[in-house]
Amino acid sequence: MLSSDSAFLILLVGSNILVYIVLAIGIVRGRKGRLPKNPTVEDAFKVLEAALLRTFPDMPPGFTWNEVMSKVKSLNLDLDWYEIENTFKKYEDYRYGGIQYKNANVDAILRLASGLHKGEKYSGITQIRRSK
Amino acid sequence: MLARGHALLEGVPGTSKTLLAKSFARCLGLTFKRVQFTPDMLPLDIVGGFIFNMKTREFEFKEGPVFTNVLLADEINRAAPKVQSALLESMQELQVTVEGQTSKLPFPFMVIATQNPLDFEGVYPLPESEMDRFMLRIEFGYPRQEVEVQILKRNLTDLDLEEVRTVTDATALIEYFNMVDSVKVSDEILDYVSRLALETREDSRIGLGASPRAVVQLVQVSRANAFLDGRSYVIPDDIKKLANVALAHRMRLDRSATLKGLASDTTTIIQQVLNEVKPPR
Repeated sequence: MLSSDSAFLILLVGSNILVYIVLAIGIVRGRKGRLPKNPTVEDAFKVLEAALLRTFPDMPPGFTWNEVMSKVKSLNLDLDWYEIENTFKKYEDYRYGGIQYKNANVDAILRLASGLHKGEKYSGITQIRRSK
Repeated sequence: MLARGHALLEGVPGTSKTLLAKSFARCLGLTFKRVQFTPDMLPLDIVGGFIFNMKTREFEFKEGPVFTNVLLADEINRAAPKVQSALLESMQELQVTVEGQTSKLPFPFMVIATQNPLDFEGVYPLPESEMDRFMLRIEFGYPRQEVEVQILKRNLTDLDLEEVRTVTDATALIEYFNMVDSVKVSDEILDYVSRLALETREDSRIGLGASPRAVVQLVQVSRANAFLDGRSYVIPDDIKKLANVALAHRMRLDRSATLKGLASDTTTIIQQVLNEVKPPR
């Protein structure tokens, strides 16, 4: 039969191991989701896609970027829409036309993704809060 | 026209299908002929045939109405299958062969066929293989009320087709065709279209899915749409916009699915497929 000290020690070591495992999982997940130092437009659009799927969980998989643009604009987020639309156009030129883009505003897309992330999940009835 | 395909207009009588086709041809500066299909027609009423010339005492080939740039084939489903086949062969080959003599049709050549979807008596419905020859099926419904008021106002005086301005001609159109041919289609877009077609073939509610010809024509008409939008490349939105008009008339529902009430029309299924298949992003 274990003494109370041994039991306490086992419990302490066990909980430490559990904490380290959870920490390690968190670090691995964090590294996967972390953007590179100089994210490209493609990186930004991947982040945006993930944010969209979180914000609109009912959105069918067959959506296009143009369909999304009209959907997110209706949310009235306080963002620079001129820059966002400009970057969308450059990404479209590059993605489907192979036209290299110049001066694409990656931050505008990341801010849009962030703005979506701050809102509640949208399922057709709930309003999205404006990002601060 | 820009995609060099043919169109099937489906709608009840009196919805301006003939007027549209005439105006369209005039606007493009092209020659136009109309043929009213009837059950007693013969193939040579469409493609032409050899007529004996009493003066020269020789048989001469008299061209049929198909020798035009824009041919309006009115109520195509009223003619016998033999006549339908004669026209459809011309559409595919862009030439006519009568008694061993081949004659090329004018270029560009487009057939605008019409049919009334509510006609069930005395008609010969186009079989699937012939429906597949039409690049697009465009449905003509009744106009909205405010549009109908405009139509009534315009019809208070006689409609003059001379008012339709000619804005281009066959030569310019050929240049536009070359421009459409230079519209880029990425491999990912082609893969997307192929996945859409595969989905229509594997869906249990569909008895006949999209054919390879259907997807080739969908891509071609998407290129024309991209050109009209001022783009030099096709985007997934072009495909989604035109998928229904390009594919729905070529597909057939599975009979048991229809009887069980699982599917009522191909249009709804195509829309579901478009919602489920992920496009390149």
